[in-house]
Order: sequence, then C-alpha cells, then structure tokens
Amino acid sequence: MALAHRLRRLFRWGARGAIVALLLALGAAAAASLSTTTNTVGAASTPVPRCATAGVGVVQNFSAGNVVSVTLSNLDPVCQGGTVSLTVNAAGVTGSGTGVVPASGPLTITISPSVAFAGNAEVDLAIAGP
Amino acid sequence: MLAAAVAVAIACPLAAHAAALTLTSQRLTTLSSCMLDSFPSSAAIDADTYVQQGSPATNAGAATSMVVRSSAGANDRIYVSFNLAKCSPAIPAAAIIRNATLNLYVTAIPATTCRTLDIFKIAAAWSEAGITWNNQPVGASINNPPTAQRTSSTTVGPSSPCVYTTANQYIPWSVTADVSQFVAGSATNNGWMIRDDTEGSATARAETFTTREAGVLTQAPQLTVSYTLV
Repeated sequence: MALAHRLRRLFRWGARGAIVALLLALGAAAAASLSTTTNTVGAASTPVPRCATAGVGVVQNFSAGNVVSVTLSNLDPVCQGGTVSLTVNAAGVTGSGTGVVPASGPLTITISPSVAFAGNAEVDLAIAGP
Repeated sequence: MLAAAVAVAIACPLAAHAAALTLTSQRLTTLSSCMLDSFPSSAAIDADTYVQQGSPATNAGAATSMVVRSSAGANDRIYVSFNLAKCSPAIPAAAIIRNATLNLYVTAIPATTCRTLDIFKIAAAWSEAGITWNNQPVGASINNPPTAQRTSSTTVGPSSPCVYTTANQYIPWSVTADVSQFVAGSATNNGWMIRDDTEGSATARAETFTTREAGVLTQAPQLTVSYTLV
C-alpha cells in the first residue's frame, strides 16, 4: 500500500516535472522566434514600395538673392497624399519646409528661413507615405 | 484543471510574442538635388558664350547675352558648361542620376515660326575666352553634329505646337543621360552646344538668352541634378 502510494506520488511529481520542462522548452522556442532576421518577420510582411523619382524636377525660386521656395514637378502620382519634407542648404545655411503631394501638377514648398544663394545649393527631400 | 493551466501557460507567451512582432512602416522616398547657378558672374568656373558664323574669328565670352540663330551664312550656336565639382556635398560617383536639367533664360523668341533647338554633349575641351566659330570643338560645318546625335531638344516659337511660346522665362533641356556619364566618369564633362535643328534658314530665325555676365541671379544659366544614392 505504502509502495503504491509512493509510486503515485512519484508519478505526479514526474508529470509536473514534464510540464515544467515543456513550458521551458516552449519559452526557449518562443525566444528563438524573436530573431530579427527578415526571414522570420517576412513571413507576415508585405513589400513597402517607394514613389518613382525618375524625372522629378526641382527648381529653386528666388527673391532678393534668397531661395524662398522650391517647386517640384513630375511627382509620381503614386505619391499623392504623401508628406514632403524638404531642406535647402547653401553655404552651410539651411532652410526647410513641408508640403503634401497633390493629385496632379507641381508642388511649391515655402522655405523658412530663406537661404542666401551664392552659386550652388543642395536640396534634400523625403516623401513619407501615403 | 491541469490541462487548462497548460493551455494558458502556452497561449500567453505566444500572444505576447505576436504583439511584439507587430511592425508599422510607411513608404519613404528620398531625393537629393544639386543646383548650380552661374551667379555671381565672378564664378568663372562656369562658362557660357556663343559663336557666330558671321564673325567666325570673334570670341563673345564677355557678352551679356547669347544667341541661337539659323540664317544662311550667319548661324549662331551657344556653348555652356558647369563644373559639377561645385556641388556641395559632392555627388557620389555611384549615385543614380534621376534628372538633370539645363535651364537658359530666353529674352527673345522667333516672331513667326516654331524652331527646334537641339543640345549636344561636347567631346573636346573649349574655353569661354577662346572659343570662336572657327575653332569650336564640333567644327564649322552647319547642321553638324547631326540631329541624331543630340541629347535632347525643345521647341520655341510664337504659338502651339511650340512648347515654349513666350520670352522671359527659363527654357529647359534634359541632360540626364550626359550628366549620368559625367558623374560616373565614363565621359568627360566639356559641357554642351545648342544649335538650331535646321541651320541655314533662308529667313533668319533667332533666340536670345541671358549669360552669367549679365549678373542677374533670376536669369543666370542653371544646371539642376537630382539623384538618389545606391
């Protein structure tokens, strides 16, 4: 009788140990699934396309020797609704502005502060979305 | 009871991990542009001038205007160049050129006919202070180089179907293919020549453009190069 009781207790402890081991194993497996490789995440992801940039026209508009705005033309219609963040840098002085890509036609973005121009300027823009 | 506990124990970590895998993102497009403007006029590393068949040994490097003309025995051609090394920051050699446009400010256009103006990449060196009709790098023969070798063209005249029908505005030429070669190092940047598509017109047809020597920022020749990085 006592032997049978001991065997049942041993079996119960064994079962609990097996459950604990199973949970630990699951935890380890779950931790492994946190890999940051794209193979792991990509299984549930979709491509993130960007707007086409070929042929985009960039024209700086002047007033009193300063770049006061920038006009963008030939923007990809796919970009409609996207937010344009733009900076102008000339001789180390930077101005910036934002705008929203229209359904059609050019987009003129006002630069603040305006930037004094002396021969060359760099314009950098990023379109986020839509 | 035990089974329920096991199920909860399994489900909770999985739910937590599923939440951790939620990613948000949006489309992001970037573009950089370098704009070169031959202003102030003291920026001597840019060059713009024209050569005159009617005065074949005359240099017009100091002129405040330049002309494209089609006229029997009196054709004119424009030469213009920009030093891409002026771009700051520099355009990387591996950059993908998305657009490059040369803009010249036109102050006079033909009154009666639409003219096609061709732009050609120049293979040999020339100088603003030395170039003439006689020594121009493409030679003195008219309608040469042939139209088929042009980089691009535009049309100017009083009405449709001309693309540009009024004076006092910038006229653009696409030079994307040429600038791509300049940046990549597969061609030397000697600038461009612009001529009438059909030189030798019996009736003179001419367009006048502003040079850097005019000293007007809003009319100075411009080159804008837009690119993306690899």
